[in-house]
Amino acid sequence: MKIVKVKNLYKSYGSNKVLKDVSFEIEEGEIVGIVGPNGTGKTTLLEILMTLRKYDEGEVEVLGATLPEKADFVRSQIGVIFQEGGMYAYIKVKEALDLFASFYSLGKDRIDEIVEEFELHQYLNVKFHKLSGGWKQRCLLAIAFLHNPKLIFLDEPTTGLDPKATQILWNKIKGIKDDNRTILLTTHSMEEIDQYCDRVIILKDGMIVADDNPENLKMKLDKRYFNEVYFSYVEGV
Amino acid sequence: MGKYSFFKKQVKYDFLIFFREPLFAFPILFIPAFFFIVFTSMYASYGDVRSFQQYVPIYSILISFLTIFFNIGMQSVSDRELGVYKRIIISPTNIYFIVATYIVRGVVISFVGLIEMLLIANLGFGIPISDNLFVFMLVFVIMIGIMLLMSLTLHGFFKNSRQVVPFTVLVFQYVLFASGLMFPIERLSKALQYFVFANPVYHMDRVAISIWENKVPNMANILALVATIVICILLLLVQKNRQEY
Repeated sequence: MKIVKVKNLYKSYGSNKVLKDVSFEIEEGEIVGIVGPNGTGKTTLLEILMTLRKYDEGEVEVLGATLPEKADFVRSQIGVIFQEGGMYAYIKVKEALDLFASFYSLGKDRIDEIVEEFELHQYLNVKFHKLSGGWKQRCLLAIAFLHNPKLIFLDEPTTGLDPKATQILWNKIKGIKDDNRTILLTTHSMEEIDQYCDRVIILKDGMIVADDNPENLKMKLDKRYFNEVYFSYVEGV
Repeated sequence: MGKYSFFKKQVKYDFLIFFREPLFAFPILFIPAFFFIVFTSMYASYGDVRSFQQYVPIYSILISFLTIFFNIGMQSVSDRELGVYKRIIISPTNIYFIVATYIVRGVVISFVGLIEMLLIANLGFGIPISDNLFVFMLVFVIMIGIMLLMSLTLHGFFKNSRQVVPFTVLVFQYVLFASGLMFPIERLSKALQYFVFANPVYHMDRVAISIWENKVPNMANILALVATIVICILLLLVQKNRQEY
């Protein structure tokens, strides 16, 4: 089943063309990474799919719903982690879970399940701004996962995390993926793409220059590491 | 659970967060009250403290300004910067519920400030309460609305806290020194008086004092506030055209 369909997508900010003729599809259960240099349109693409931005031309379908017309339906079905975090600094973890659970009319049972699943017990009474980077991301992932979304967007989820926190977060993400959920993420870590993603989309100057499995791309270009593949496409090295 | 029962939780956590932020709740609710007590005590030692009663509406509007412009305005920028708006909008709620929580907080804290001032003035210094209190409260709600409109409009132009802090501090100084709160306007030079007349909070103070004293407000003050509303709505429309969600 196709979870995301994007066809001939164009997006500009004034005279700056950020996305040019972008087309791709994502199957259910895939982890797809979007990579590319800064300013190449990764976050814009993700934000269009998350219903946060309008697009100029093309067709976008998420979970079978056409955007922007069915944005409300899509919003109720997706989970999200933003680069900026997206959480009040002075809210406690248990309060954040309670607040976001209320948006989806979820009861205390679901909050208890999530606390258990993400092992948040010891941090429930800690304010968000006092959590370490790794625990912040884990809480955000837990919140994103509260309403059992079929599709999860992660915008640079491991930026600023130490290797241990990154590994723990990825273990959680993989656990989510095992339930046949689809994950679409942006990252600057080529290791993460190589290790965890089923597919990678490389963007350059707002266009897709590669869209395949990381292993296939390495074989195709006869490279040992994915970062070599990345530089081949992005810088022609 | 009702369709909009989440809004109760949004309001609840909005207040909790407000009282947890160390630099907001204390200065807003205690510092104006402290200065009111100091100035009224000084005034009481010179003459009839009843003539000090016009400062009850002025200080109430100051608390409202601090809540709505300083606290809510700056928070709206930092929430945007931290991605809170985006995160909440993606849930099955929308931006209007966020604005509604600001309205609830603005009205409640402003009225707490008004009641605080009334109690200090009346019980602490024997300053009589206006005979026109009910109408005054209605006008006070309108002032809160105008203040909220100004705050969200002007803060809507800022993308991060680094940009907004100098602006808010500057506006705070302007409101403090050019609204009749610190000095009588008549004693300022003609040139400085123009700065005062350009200040919407000054006009709010004049209208509020007139209502408090059971007099008809000056039409110039009312027109200045109407002009403020029109300008803010036009600026909001400009912002809405630029907004994508």
